[in-house]
Parts: sequence; C-alpha cells; structure tokens
Amino acid sequence: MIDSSLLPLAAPIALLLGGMLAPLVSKDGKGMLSILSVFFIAAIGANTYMLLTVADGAIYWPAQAGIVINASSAFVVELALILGFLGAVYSLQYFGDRTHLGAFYALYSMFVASLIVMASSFNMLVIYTCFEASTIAGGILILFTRRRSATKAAVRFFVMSVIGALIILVGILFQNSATGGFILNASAFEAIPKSDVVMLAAIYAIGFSIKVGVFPFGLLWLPSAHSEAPTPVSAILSGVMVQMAAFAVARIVGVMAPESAPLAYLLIGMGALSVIVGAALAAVEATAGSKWSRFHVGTVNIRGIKRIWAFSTSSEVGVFYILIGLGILFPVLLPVFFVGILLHFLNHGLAKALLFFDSGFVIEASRVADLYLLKGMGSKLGPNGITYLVGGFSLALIPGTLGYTTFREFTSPNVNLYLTAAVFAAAALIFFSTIYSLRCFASGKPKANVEYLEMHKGSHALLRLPGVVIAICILVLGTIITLGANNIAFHDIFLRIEEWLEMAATTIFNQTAALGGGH
Amino acid sequence: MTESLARRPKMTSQRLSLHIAFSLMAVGFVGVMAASIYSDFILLLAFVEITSVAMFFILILSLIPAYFPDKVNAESIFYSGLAKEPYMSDDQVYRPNVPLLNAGYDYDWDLYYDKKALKVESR
Repeated sequence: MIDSSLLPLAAPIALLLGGMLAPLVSKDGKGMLSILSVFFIAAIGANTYMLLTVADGAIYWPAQAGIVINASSAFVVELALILGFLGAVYSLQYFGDRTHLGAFYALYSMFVASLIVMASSFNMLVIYTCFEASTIAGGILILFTRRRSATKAAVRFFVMSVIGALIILVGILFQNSATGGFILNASAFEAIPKSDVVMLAAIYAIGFSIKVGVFPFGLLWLPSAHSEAPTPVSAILSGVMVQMAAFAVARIVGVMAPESAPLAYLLIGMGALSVIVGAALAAVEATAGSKWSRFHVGTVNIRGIKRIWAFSTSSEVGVFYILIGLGILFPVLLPVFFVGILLHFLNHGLAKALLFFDSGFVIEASRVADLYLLKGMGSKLGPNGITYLVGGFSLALIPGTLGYTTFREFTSPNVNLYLTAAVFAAAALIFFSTIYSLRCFASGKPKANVEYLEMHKGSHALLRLPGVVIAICILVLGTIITLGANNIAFHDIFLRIEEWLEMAATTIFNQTAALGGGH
Repeated sequence: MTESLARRPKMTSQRLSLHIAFSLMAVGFVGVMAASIYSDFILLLAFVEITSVAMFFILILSLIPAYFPDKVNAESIFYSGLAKEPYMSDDQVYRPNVPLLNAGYDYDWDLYYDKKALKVESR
C-alpha cells in the first residue's frame, strides 16, 4: 500500500503552528505551554495513527519525492515527538526565572519539526534542507543559556555543521550529475558505475558524520554544544538530532548498497574509536574533570555534570556507524544490522534524554553545574536518583533495561569479537560514570568551601517528571524484551515486536517493505 | 541586566539586515523544498544560493563578532586618541549582548554555579 495523503504534513505543520501561535496568543509561560502541548499532542496523535496503520506500506505527500512516512520513519518520528513534548514541558520550569520562553518555544518547535521531516524523506534535497534548518534552529537554541561559553559552543556547532553541509552539497551535486536526480532510489544507483556509488556513499557518510558526532569530528563540537545548551535542548540534541543524522546515513547507505570493504572498515573504524574514546572521556570527565578530558569552552576547569553525558553521546553514536559499516561488509545481513539501528535509536534516545533531564534537574535544584562544587542533595534527589540509574544502566546494556537490545545485537555471532569487546568495554565505563556521578549527586564533597546564600525556591515537579516517564518506558520495554527474548514471559509480544522491527528495518532503505529488501 | 532584557530592542541597521537575512533564509528553505519536490533544477539552485548566502551573512554578521570581539585599548583613548577612533560608542561601553537573541549575558553562571545562590571560596 502506498498512498498519497496530507497526513505526513500533520506533525511538522502542527509543530510549526504551535511554536508560532504559543507566544503570539499568550504572554504567560503556562499559557504558552498549554497551546504548544495541544499542537504536540495533535502531532503525536497523527503520527501514532500512521505508525499503527502504515504497516509495510507508505504514505506520501505531495509525491514520493516529497515527505514519505513508512514504518521506520514513523517509528523514529514518534520518539522525536515524545521526547520533544517532554522537553517542552520541562522547559516551562527550566526557563521559569528567565526570559525569552516564547522565542525559545518557536525555535524549539522548528528544530523538532526540521528533524522529523529529515527522517521522512528519500529526497536528498529535502534531507539537506532540514539538516540546515536544524543547524540554524539548534545553534540559536544553544545560545539560550546566555553564557559566554555557550556562544563559543554555538559557533563551533555552526561552523562544523556548515562544513558538514558543504560536503553533503558536493555529494548532492555529484549524485545529480551521476543519476540525474536527487531521489534515493536503488534502481538509479544500479545504473551507474560501482566506483561512483562507493565515492558518493563515502562523501555522504563523511559529511553526515560531522553532525552525527562520531570520532574525530564530533569531539570538536559535540561535548561543548551538548553541555552548554539549555537542558531540554541538550536532551533533543543528544537524544534525537545526532540519531536522526545517523538514521539518514543508514538510509543513504542502505539504498546505495556500496560494495566496498575499505568504506565498510572506515565506518567501522570511526564507530569503534568513537565508542571507546567517548566512553573513556566520559569516565575521565566524571572523575578528573575537563583539565584532562579537554574539549571545554569555559574559562575554568570543571567536572561538568552534563559534559559526562555529552561525551557518552559521542560514544553511543559510534554504535550506529559500526552497524552501518557491518551492513556494507555483509549485505545479506543488512536488515539484521538495521534492526539493531532502530533498537539502539530507541534505547539511546530514551536513556540519553532521561540522563540529561535528570542532570538538568540536579543543576537547577543545587544551582551547581560542576561536580567539584556539588554538595550532595541526599534525599532531595527523590525518585530521580533511581531514574538516573535506570538511564545509566540502559546505556550500560544491563538486562532488564532497553540496553539489552544492544547487548543481544553485539553478542550475536554476526558481530566480530573485537567489536563486541569495544562496545562492552564502553558499556562498563558508562556504568562506572553513572554510579560515580550519582554518588556525587547524593553525597558530594566539594573541593572548595561552598556556602549557600539562598536555596532555590522554585518548584521542580516538571523537571522531575520527564525522567520518571522515560524511566518507566525503559523498564517496561526492557522487561518485555529481556523476558520475551529468553522465553520466560511475554514471548508472543516479543515475537510480534521482533517481526515488526524486521519489517520496519527494510523500510529504512525502501519506501515500502512490500517492494522487498533489495539486497 | 533584567532591565536590559525587558527593554524593547532598537531597530538598528544591523538588526534590520538580520531580519532581512532571516526572512530570505526562510523563503529559501521553503523554495528549496518546493523546487526539489517539483524537480525544477534552476529554481532549486537559485533557492539554495539564497539560503546559503543568508546563512553565511547571519554567521558572519552575528556570530563571528561575538566570538572575536573588538578590543579597545582604553589607554590609547586616554592619550589623546592614539587608537583608530578617539572615542568609544555606547555599544562599546555597554556590555555585549548574546548574538541573535539581543539579551544580556548571564554572568551569574560564568563559573558553572549560580553566584546569586552560592558563595565559593578557594576553588
């Protein structure tokens, strides 16, 4: 089934309208959030409807070269919308004592809208345009912390993204000259020389790798941008944006199917180095601080609470590049590795957003963003101490959480033992970073004399809420998958999820699963 | 600082050009989407060009000056105008704003803790 419908427009239009109308209709924060929430819920409703009804088909508007929603697109868009909505709710209290909430909501909605359209097209120009729109909106959103260091971080983000965009533009022009169009269509690439396909895939993979944040490009901008941005933006940058860029690479490589072992090893190498270096730097940041982990834009060395998770993002995106590289190396197993991409998208998206939301809550409640100065919050941490653990455990691939999905992927016989070792070593480092930072949150001993002049009086209910909601999702889905996969309980549900994911994985590189895998 | 946030920004020539650049960029984005969907290559290149020029203009106009601010040597001014311009404008005396947002910087969080809430000694 492939139908033309206006439905694929519903989510992006709702977000853009909500972002524009909220500050126009209401000057009050709660009023703005109420209006924006209505549009977010409408967007989630429309996408959920498509997710449930699209099956192995696709819905497009106005042509198949425009916006196309199929199973994989609907899946990643759903996650982006839910995290985007939670971020919007979180922003109300986060910006409680700050101004510019209206402008923030307008840009934030545009940012999320551009990311969801980026995942909903097979047209390189639409993907490129949304890539640029997300750069502009995301870069400006980083400035909303109004710190001088945030300006430096935003400049790095802009400059690196523009370099990535220029490389992609070269790829687009090359694609147009070789295939006569901009559409990602397997038959168009079958008609051109194999060497051109490999070259084109390499250009796109390198261009997007800057935005994805894999080694070595990611370290130049990702740790600073993700840690200096306002917390709801950090959650979307890490939980959605870098993943959408990785999803675009998976789609491009999946459609082109380049037969090149060197390209596969390049992507696997970049991914594996990212996985290890990012996780190691996260552990260094948690223990020794920016003096040793580097890539810091502030004027003083800190042990940045959010920097730990920014480095961890740089590690997690490496998993996508490893799976894409393996897909090139073993084309027959490409759908299997792409199931891994969808599951890692879900696990990392939820866990990383949770960890940023909870870190932001600790920063706002304690008024400190530096572990060197953090006096423990003790029992004031409340349920968020547990939710923080759930997020960290999910990234550490602990069974019972969603991380078990990545655990299964990398313990399957399809994956080389060295890659498994790299991913598990990184997971162990993230486990350590989680426990170590949580210990500081609960009972930190500052290295300096810290005296509170006044305690932060505002309510933190909305800062706690997203972490709790996401932790429940991680635990419920993680339990079903862990028990189902091991035939203990929920086995039927697990089989249905697995079957759906196998179908959805083929729609990463095909407009519909009904047309077949193409490999 | 709160005062500076609350006041309505003056429409200077830089702000006007920034607004124009943003508008052109928005037109460019919509144009690129439309032209790519309807496969009009000439129009597409025109819109890509408009968008790129607008983006670079925004980058250069707003961000680079913020990253590398002009430094005025106060002594040179004192010694009868040895600096290029023997005066300082209001903009130079005034604390710089966050680029694009036209809001003042939040100096309270410069050292990664809230100076209003905490007193930190011997860091």
